[in-house]
Amino acid sequence: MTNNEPQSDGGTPVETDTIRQEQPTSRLRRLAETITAPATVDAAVYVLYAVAVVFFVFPALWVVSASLRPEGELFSYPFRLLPSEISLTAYQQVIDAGVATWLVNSTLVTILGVGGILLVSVPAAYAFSRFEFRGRRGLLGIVLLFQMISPVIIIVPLYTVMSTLGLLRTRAGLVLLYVGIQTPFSIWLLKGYFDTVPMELDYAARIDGCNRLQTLRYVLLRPVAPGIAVVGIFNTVLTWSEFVLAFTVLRSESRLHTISIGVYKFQGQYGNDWRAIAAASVIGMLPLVLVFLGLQRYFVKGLVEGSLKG
Amino acid sequence: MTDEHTHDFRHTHEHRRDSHGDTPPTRSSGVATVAASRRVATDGGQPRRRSETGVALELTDVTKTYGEAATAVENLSVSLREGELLVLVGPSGCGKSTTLRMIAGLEEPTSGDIRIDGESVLGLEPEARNTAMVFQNYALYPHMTARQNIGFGLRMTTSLSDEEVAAEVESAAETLDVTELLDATPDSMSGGQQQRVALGRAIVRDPSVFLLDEPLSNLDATLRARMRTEIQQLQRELGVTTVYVTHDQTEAMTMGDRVAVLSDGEIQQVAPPMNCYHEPANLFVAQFVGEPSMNTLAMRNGRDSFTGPVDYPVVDPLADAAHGVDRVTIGVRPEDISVEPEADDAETTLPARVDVTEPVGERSFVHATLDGGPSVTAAVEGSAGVRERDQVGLRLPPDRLHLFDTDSGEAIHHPDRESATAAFGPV
Amino acid sequence: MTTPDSTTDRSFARLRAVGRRLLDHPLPWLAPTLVLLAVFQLYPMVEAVLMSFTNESLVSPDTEFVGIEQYARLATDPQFWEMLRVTAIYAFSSVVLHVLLGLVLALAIDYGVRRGLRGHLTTRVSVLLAWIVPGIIIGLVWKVMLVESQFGAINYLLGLVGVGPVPFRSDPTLALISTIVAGTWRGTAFSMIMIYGGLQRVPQRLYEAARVDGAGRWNRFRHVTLPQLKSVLFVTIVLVTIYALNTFDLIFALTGGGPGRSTQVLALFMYQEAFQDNALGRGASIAVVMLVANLALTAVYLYAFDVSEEI
Repeated sequence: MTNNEPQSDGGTPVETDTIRQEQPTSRLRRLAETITAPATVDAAVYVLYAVAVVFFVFPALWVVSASLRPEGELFSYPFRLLPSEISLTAYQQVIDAGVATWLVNSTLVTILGVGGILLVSVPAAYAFSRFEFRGRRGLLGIVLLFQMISPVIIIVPLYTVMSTLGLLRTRAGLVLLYVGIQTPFSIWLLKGYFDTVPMELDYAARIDGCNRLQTLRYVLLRPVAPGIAVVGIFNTVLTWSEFVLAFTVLRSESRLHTISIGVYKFQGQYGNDWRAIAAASVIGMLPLVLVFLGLQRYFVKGLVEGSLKG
Repeated sequence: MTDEHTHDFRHTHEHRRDSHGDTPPTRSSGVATVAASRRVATDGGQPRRRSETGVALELTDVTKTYGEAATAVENLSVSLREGELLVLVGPSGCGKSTTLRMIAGLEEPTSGDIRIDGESVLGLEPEARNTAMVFQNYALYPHMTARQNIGFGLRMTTSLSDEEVAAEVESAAETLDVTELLDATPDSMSGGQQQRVALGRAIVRDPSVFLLDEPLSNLDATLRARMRTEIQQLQRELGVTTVYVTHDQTEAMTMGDRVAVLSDGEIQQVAPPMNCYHEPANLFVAQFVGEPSMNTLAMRNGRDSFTGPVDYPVVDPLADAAHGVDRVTIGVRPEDISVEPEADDAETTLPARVDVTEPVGERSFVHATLDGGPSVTAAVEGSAGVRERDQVGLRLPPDRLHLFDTDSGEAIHHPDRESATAAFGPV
Repeated sequence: MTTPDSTTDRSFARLRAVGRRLLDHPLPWLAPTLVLLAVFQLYPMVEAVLMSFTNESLVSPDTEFVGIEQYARLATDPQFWEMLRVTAIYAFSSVVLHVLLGLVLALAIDYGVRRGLRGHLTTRVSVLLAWIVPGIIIGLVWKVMLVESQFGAINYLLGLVGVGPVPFRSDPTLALISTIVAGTWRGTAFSMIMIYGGLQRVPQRLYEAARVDGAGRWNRFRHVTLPQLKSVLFVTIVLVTIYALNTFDLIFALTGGGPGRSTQVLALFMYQEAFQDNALGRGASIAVVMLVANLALTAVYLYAFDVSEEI
């Protein structure tokens, strides 16, 4: 929050001077200058920040607040933004419903899924970036095309595929499915990072005696680390949050249910018990929020550094 | 003729060596011991086998094509003596980098043979060829310190212990004067420093062949000049056979024992730099080597004169050389043209109008348009003494002219260098 | 030199050589991807098309080829057209809102970073936090927010200014708007972060050049920023469109498609046909319609942005 580029404003007087010289000052022009004057823009941006923060944070905070109420307070008068006293009974309800299992399942699926996605997509992205072979562009096009297809669309045949392979109601099946579905986007993203690393680095490594695997491992992995971080974080969020595939693959196998399914089922049972639903929601989002708060810096940095050019 | 020229070259060569005698003797002897000890370390006690013939690197009919249409290198043959520095020079896209990469083993030739120390290296991995390469953008591993960068190759290819690697790295760093930088990462180094570390990474492996791919083109002018000398010095101290690729003809002229001029994947001439300058094998070399480049006038061979946009008398020694060639091109170095205040009657003096004069210190370039149309550049001593739009006479001395067969581009006549009266040498 | 066993050495060397040659071919690097894509993407896609011409069902064992019957049925079903409309409204509003809001926020944050304003980091983190909340939970969060009595947070706040209580989830129009707002709450972050990344890659010298040429803020945005963002905007819009067209979990949790079918998007409809009514063939035909819509829109964007050579 320090003044990173104070000079970015230093140029403004020059700019207005030039305009004045070139054109007679009209009333409209003066109005435009007032509107685009740094102070006016600063103020507008501050207002925007405030509105954005309220819009994006308030729902989450409200849910937290709702979940901590003593029973019945949500529907008592007067309305309170904050609980009169902290009560954890709603959380007890969620814990009794088996939230620990869901969290464990989600954690397992996420770790295995993201690990698998990286294991498959890093070598593939390397190949697309570093090899010249017939049909490379075509294959890349197909990968891009798959990225455009939401898994929701193919969920019906996916169900029969999973059933044929005997992967319904298995955690391994769900993980494999996530790897299969998320790989195209990850390859595409990672390839951009590989492309920014000069080929000379590969040549130098080869002359230094590396085979391709060693080149990837010792020389390229570090320069593309921001990309791997981005892809990792991205897929962590997607995998943790995913609902429809998990719901379809795991079916009624409740001991395998992930947090999304668990919370959904829970709210089905508790109907209008907003306090309990709020508590379940808080538990469902909290782990990822905590992880993400710690990692978002790398995420944004990686995205900015990478060549997400399209 | 050739003998004398070679002699000339040797002379300058020795002179250069002498100037290197200024470097502290302790340092060069230090380098020698280090190199020797390294050889012991890498080859398990056996002295490295060198070719009997003294030919360290030999390329025979090397051709590289990409797909069916694109030919990058065609029938390239050249051989380097042990310890020789060959400069591969040519415009971008002429195939010089491809050639270098084929020697390194980064690409395989489509046909032909490459031999290092007498043995074919086709199909061998780069590490097995015992070459080292320095790249234009240095290609230092960004996440490693200079120390790790230099030691990486040794770690990957040898079974040296950590201490041994460290010692090798230290001595290479000493040679290149980068000891203070050893713990820095590339992003905190200047271009020149990165270049030195890259050189260190190459020499630490004690290669049979040292390959440099435009190593100086990312540096600013001052640094480039300094590194030019340093690389030469280093190459001679280590005595390592070197192929140096550049598009910069100054580097080509000053650095190489010999220069190979490449165009469109084909070698145009391989010769000591002065020979390329004084006796270019063809029009391409003539125009590529020398700054400003040679003036050329395409003419028709008439009976008494060459005719074209301007006329020039067919006098000795040109007559014999031009005999039987219908379309000839006259070539004349800018420094061989003299600018007369006004056109005299001599047929070898051509009337022209001055377009621009460029004073560049001790001499000036005069760009003028001949009355017949083509423009030529003359280099004269001191200030030009003429101004823009002056009408002048440009004297092209017959004994300073080169002749080329326009159709084939081949040189058919060079001026006799003994009678050289040119006021300025090349560059 | 005194190698204990030179045959082992040699076979090791040969093994290494084979390994190296294997690594020099792209196939080993791509094989896992190709297998996964074939099994989980290509085959299902083809199968979806094939299935849509059958009456395959989860409950009856006999599957017959029925030609275009499923499509004919869809085409004559007024409800299908209604759902198509709902989906189009939802997707279109989502794209416009996500991208516009994302662009404005990205510009504001970028501006704040450059000017050293306070709060740009807080804003960025707040927006991103909404994005990482699982879709199902977002549905529930907004369900809690939008409780249709004075006990709901939004209705309470509206009550303070004398409005309401508003039936956010039981009025068809309001329910659709609610889903769009909840979707925007989640989706803006993605657009914002993509565009923010794009902004960072606009070469600074272009702005300087524009300044020297006397371009004001608006002109710099119009003639420097926007053209430079073209390919990022393209990718963002394509991805947001696809994402919005196929939204499932959020609506599933927030309204379940109701009231009536007012928020029943195609994804939800397909899911219900296939897995609640067990009519896989019918579900597949809806899937194919969605597939065509996705591909057609992508093609339209490709044409409109003309970025094919930049991808």
